[in-house]
Amino acid sequence: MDEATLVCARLLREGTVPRAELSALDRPDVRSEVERRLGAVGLVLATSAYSEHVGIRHSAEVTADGAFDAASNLGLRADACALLVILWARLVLQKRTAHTTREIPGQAELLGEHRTDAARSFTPAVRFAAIVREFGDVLGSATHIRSLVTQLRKLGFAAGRGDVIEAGPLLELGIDGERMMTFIRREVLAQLLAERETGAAAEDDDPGVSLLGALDRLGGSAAISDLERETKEKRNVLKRRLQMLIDEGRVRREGQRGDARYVKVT
Amino acid sequence: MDLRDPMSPENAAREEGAPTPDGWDSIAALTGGEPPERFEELGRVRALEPVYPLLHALAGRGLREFFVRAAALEALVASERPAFGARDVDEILYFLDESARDATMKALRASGWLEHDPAEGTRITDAGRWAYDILAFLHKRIGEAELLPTVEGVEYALRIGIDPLRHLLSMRSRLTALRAAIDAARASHSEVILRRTAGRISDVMKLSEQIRAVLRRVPVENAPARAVAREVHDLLARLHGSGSELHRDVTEVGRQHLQLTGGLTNEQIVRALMRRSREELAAAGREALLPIARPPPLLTTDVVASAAEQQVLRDRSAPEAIDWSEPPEAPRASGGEGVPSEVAALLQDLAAIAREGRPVPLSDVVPRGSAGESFLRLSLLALAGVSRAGEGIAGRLGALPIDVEAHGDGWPEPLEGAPLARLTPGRIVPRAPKGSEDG
Repeated sequence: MDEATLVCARLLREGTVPRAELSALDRPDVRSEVERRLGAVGLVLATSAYSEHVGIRHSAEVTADGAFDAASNLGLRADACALLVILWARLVLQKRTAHTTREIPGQAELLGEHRTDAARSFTPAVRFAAIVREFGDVLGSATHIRSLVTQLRKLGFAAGRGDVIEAGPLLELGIDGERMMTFIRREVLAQLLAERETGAAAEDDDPGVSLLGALDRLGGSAAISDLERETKEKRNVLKRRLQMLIDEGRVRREGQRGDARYVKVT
Repeated sequence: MDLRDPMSPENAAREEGAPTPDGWDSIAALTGGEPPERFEELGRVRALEPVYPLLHALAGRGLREFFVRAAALEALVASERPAFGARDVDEILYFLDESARDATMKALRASGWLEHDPAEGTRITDAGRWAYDILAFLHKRIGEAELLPTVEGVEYALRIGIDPLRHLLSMRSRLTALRAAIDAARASHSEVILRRTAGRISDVMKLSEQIRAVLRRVPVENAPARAVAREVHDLLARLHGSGSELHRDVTEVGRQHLQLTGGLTNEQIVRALMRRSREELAAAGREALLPIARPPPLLTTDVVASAAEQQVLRDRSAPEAIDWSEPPEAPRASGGEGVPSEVAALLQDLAAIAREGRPVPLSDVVPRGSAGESFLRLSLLALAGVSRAGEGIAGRLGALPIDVEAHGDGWPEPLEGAPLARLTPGRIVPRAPKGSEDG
């Protein structure tokens, strides 16, 4: 039996196979033969630079048919798809970063060649309890989330044992990383913008915040004239706000009259 | 605080068209027939009875009425007018149509929020202003676990001379909840949850000096309040400890994540995802999901037959029959078995002393044979006559009715013609038989 047949058979039987066990695929002739045979039945090789596995997926021509909706084809419902996004962000992103930067958490001091190996074998993990606490409101009860994790483990999207969840081979091979990365960047940016707006609103509500910020910039202690220059506010307005901050215990005054300095209480 | 009953709760409820609420006495139906006065918990809240019509009228018959009445109250307070004539009310409550305006004003007037003075017009009652001030706190901070209002509450209670116990209990409850939140956060191993809880802790720690200052002012003679204040002190101290552990966990969890490319942090990503609904996350997941081909179950006749054969041929050992008979009694060693001859000799000597009833000097009993045997005898004498000595040799020595008395300050004296050179002077005194002292 030729090698291309064996590779195809293993892929069809197991879905995903460790790349190390399919070394024949490194030979261009075998690979092209495998791709030709899979292509004849509407399948393509699924590989990723970040994955140590090889899988198969339906070709674009096949999935153009309405019957091949990706999520429903795998029996994944909305909550499972939501959990996929969460696991991808928590696990695959870390793995990709380790690959790219050749660093793993807590071992930045390793030598160059060791760092590459360490990054390749780095397996990010997330605890079940963390997912429940962070996304319980979105995904439901701990029991429900556990059933979702079990489903994703059976399908190969998740791995790990017990309460430690690791990335399964399909989390890299079965998900469009670029699309996911775009979504995550957009969400994080939206959040940062929202936080900035909220922060600005809070500053509007509490003018003392800007005054404390000015004090910070002036080294934590300043005379009223320094604050005038820094904030461009009128002296009587500043005095009123400073008195409020003194009453609240956030600022204290040292010295009298012309020598008075306002010190931020830390 | 003037909380005169402007309208009985029953009347206020009737005004709303709600079913007549039961009063204080009817609580007995919920306490198994016991009068409510017998329960301290119920008695404590009876003073709130005048507040009921205010809150009931504000809540109205549903959320719509609540919104309208709350907005009307806020508009009236914001108008800065001490009293309102009919034209003022029309102007202030312009956002309501005439019938709604009249109904709202009528409900607020009937329930004690507003009162009408023919000379001045309609004005907000003192009770209404109180309730409004309390409600105002709920505006911005609702849902947030802020401690400051409670601290200020204790401060205010102390200033106006009322018992701060309720506020202190609330403070204790908040701090206890915070401590539980720390434990839960540490168990979550989630950076987001840990950081969020750390933020809450640092807010409380910023207030801790203020809290301690307020607690110091709780009068000594108010024993229950002082007791709660002490507990709050303890809780604050424990929170300090828990807070440092929490910060250590935050650092530890942070070390487990890489700084992602593009300046993103793991925590930012998780927080961003937490803001999204399940549907939004699911939509993103569906869009990103690639059409993976699932391997079909691979079954051949040979494989199935082989599996079935293995199942049938599996060696299943029959369980052993359980023997329900009593087990044989464990062998017991006799008392004398294994007792060294030197010890047996000491036991015999001591038994003879007890039998004869005559005190014997230690120098006659302890030295025997060699120095080693003499040391053994002396060391075992410590157990003689001590009835709690236990079983075996110790038990037998303890059962002997004798006492060992040491003379002098314990300094040993020289012995002649004995295996020991020196020995503390003393004697072994047999105890008198029971009843002989009486006789």
